[in-house]
Amino acid sequence: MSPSPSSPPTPNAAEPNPADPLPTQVVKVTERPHPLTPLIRGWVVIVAAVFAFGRDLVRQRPQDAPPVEFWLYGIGLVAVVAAGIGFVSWRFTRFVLDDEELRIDTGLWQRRSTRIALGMLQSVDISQPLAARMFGLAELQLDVGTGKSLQLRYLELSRAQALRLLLLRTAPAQTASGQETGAGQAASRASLIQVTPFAVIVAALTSSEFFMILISGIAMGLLGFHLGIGIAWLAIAFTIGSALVGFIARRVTGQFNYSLSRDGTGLRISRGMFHLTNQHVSPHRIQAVTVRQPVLWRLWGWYQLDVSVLGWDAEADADHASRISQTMLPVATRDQLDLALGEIWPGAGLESVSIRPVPIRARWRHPLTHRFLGWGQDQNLFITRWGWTVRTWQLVPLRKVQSIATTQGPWLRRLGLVNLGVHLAGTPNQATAFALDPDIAARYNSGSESTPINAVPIPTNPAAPD
Amino acid sequence: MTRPRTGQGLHLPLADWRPLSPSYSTARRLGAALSGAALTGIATAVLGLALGWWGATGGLLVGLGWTTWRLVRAGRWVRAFRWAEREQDLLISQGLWFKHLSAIPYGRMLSVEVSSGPLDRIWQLASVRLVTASSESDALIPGLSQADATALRDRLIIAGQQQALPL
Repeated sequence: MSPSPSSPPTPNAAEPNPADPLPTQVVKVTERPHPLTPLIRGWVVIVAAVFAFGRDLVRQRPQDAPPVEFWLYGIGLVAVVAAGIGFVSWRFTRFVLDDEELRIDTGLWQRRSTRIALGMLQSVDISQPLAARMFGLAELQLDVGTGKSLQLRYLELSRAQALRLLLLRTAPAQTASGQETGAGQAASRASLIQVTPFAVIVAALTSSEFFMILISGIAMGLLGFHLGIGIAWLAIAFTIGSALVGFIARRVTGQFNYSLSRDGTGLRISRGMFHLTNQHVSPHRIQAVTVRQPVLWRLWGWYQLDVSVLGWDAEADADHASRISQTMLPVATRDQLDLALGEIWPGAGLESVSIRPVPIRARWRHPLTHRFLGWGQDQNLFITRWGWTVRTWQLVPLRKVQSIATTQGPWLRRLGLVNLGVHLAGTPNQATAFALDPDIAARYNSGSESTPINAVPIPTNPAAPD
Repeated sequence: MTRPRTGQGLHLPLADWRPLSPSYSTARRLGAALSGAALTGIATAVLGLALGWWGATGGLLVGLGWTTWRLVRAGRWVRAFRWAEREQDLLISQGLWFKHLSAIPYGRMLSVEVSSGPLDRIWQLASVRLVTASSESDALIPGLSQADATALRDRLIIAGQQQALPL
């Protein structure tokens, strides 16, 4: 039985021996998942089955419980069926790479053949879930720009790395990042920033999310006390306590050993305690950057750096549990922050653009934050800052601006101020400069037209690199 | 008419500003009247069943007042709406209380949609929407005559192709 009638036999399509080096000249490369793949993919099911049966076994000791053999046969049956399914899915899965496309063939009855044009590849990342890591295996994640990424799982780590370089060597999209490209440099990696576990723990303990959980817990506790529900105290304390512990645990395991480095294919984020994750991003894919500073971080000058990349927002979550994280630096000093910003856009920094404060009359609209509000812009970058307990900076490269709008409600009209919204692709979809003086914007603008819109020049040169 | 008055504050740049079709006021008023009548009827019936005659009268009065308000605002909203084509971007100015002036570069345009609802079709009207990669740039010009709308669409497509910018 031919595993895949759509793949004609080719010289290199023979069963790959893991010891073979991958050929440097790509003719056609066929990869199989590692034979342990079904075991790793199915281990959750097996553990759950053992746990469920075992729990019932321990609980129902009395004579009305079925004999021990019944459970053993049950577990054995589940294991055999799972192994059979796993074997079939492994046997009929293959990854075929040639000059132009990567093909992923899966399925016995329901055949699927996914083809990815290598030119569409945005990035290729290696990640190691805990179970795979124990066997020295890894999965490759292919980012094709939007939506869900595709996974090739599981390969030996060394083969995954070799295949990644091969994919990138063939992918012309990588040349779009401008300077240094090529697989030769992809191997050379310069480490930029390492975040220590201590900083991650302190950052989590002083983050605004931590205090949100704590404050809501205290509020619920006070409410329970007020209503005289004594027993509710315990329940609330337990719930909040486990929420806090869970939050810290997720943060620490997800952000453990966070490091930012640079190689030939762009910037690389790697992180994780049990599940090792790598993410690559070419700076030209970054639509905007958000820098946040919770109130306690002001004391020791820490910042968090998030990037917005099309397609990432669909998968990312704030807890770093998923494979994709929009966070480039979970916690960074000012120097590290400026270093990272400079890597994203040469010459950029948190204060590389002079920030204009808002007029003093803005205090009637923003009584708590008018001192911090501000915006600025040079030929390349638009920066706005706002926020009270969490100070926020948004940095937007002008060539990524989709459209702009000034808005003015009745209150701002009385004060003679406007808000300027810069619309972005992806998440967040807007960066707002609050409480601008229309006249400042007009004076700032060299032309004769007198609207803040003209203060933000819209990219006009179609020949400019993206 | 190049620089219409929009109240204090939000100055419009010099451009060839154009209004919506005058019959769009009528279309909008009809829409407001129909939805107002339906909601007033529902409010009157529900309040009447729940609270008796006083409730029905209250619901009727509030509904009628609200509908009248919307009828007045509909015409003013349409007269306040302006749009202009500049060399590289489309400007849209709208709103009475919350004024909104947006600029959408042609190069950012992903697609142009022309649509025409049942009320619009009575007066041969259509709306044109520019779609960019940002969900925030809501570039909708309602209430153009259908000929104007298709002509604008064609001009936008040509300008978008000539000035296309990468994402």
